[in-house]
Amino acid sequence: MDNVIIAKKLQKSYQGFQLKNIDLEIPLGCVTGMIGVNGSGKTTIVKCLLNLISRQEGMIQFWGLDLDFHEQEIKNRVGVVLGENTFYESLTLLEMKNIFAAAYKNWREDIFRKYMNHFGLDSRKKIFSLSREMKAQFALCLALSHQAELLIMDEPTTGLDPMTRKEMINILLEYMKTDGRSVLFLTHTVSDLDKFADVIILVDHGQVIFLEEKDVLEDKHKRIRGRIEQLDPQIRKLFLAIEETGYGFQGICKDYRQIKEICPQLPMERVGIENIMLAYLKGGVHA
Amino acid sequence: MLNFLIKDYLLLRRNIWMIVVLTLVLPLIVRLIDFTLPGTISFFYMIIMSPLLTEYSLSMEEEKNADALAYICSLPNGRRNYVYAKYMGAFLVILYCLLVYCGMYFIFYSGKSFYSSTVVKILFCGISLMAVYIPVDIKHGINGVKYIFIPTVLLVSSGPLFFSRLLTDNGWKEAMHYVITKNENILILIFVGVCVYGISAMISIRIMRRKEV
Repeated sequence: MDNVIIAKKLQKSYQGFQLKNIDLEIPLGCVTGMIGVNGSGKTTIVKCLLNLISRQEGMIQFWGLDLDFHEQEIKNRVGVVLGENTFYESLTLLEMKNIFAAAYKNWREDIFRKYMNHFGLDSRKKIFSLSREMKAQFALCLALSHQAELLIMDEPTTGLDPMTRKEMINILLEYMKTDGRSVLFLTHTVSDLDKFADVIILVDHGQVIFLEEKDVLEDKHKRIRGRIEQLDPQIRKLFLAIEETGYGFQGICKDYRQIKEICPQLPMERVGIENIMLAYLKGGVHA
Repeated sequence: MLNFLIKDYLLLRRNIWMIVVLTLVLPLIVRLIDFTLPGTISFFYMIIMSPLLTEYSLSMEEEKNADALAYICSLPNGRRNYVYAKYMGAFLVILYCLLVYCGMYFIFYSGKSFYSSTVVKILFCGISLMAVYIPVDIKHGINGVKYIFIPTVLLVSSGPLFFSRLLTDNGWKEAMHYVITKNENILILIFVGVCVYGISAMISIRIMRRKEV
């Protein structure tokens, strides 16, 4: 599989926080979801990828081009959606758009108009008068209007109402219909990714805990229930997290096949991404 | 870069007219205080206060939307053009002050000789102030530039009489001695001014490139 982003040995330290030798390979033509709790380092990684903060070590390539030498070319091909208050509040949507449009080589006014009409946004409105949903929609309009081949979105759906979230995800699905396009989607609302992510990256305490195809991830991790006496030490160590009651236990395992070999009679169920994430974080896998 | 210059104008549009009017009114105020003061005093006031107020207002607006800088820096050539726009904006305000001074000179002082060397020296002062202000602004934002803005305003507010003494021939020469080592050649001063502004812009781009947003 070709990669749209390759990052190797990324390091960045702040007081009380450190990105530790981050290695990433974001596949081309896929929606990659980066998940993790607040403060886990997702935004720091994305800021490194966009050169918004300087990294202390490491190399970043987009489409095989080194970010240090081809930054302008890369940024022309990347659409960015950052947090909520990232526009000049006193400007109108039209004024903000004009600042952005002039910066990109491939700006398409017709695409911008199409999305503005789709969301029902009035370009004469001042940004401070917009709701959180409208700001998110406007950010998406800007990111999509210069024919970006990669969208990098930092918590684009956080705090939005379900309708707007669904609408945005539908637009991203539409965007992905064109070959060669990719999305890197950061969120801690994991339910959004269940619907459309192909690859999942879990970040915690400045480390990548896993980078895996979603289907493989869901396939390997299972919820297993059983009686306490079935939970011998050999089986216990195969679980990421276990909850025990007086009568039995339930837990999420890293690879159900290993447990099946030892104890084939244990019932297993499919688990969602959110539960897998919680199992890794609760289980102290990285501690 | 033009889009960033327009952005700066749009952020300042409520304040810019106050600065435009202030620049026009300043010479009248100076004349009201002392009718005998030379026109270059007014020009000195304009060239220090107008770009400083413009850039300080801009720093305050940028501070209000501090997260917007991350978006600006995610644009192709965003960091570089952001810096260029600041320098171009300050230069345009200085140019506007020069035009106002020329107009004022022909209205109020048409009978007297045009002190071209003093005008260039005052321009040099204005350019130098901006050459220091903008890199500090980019590096530290409003918290850094207040240490330039407040002392400058206090100094300028200390009264036209103070500056009228400084700007008499001897006072001026002494003051400029350390800056241009007694060089009276206007072309050299213009060249030095351009170099100072250019070097300052290069330093600002370097600062901006490393700035974490």
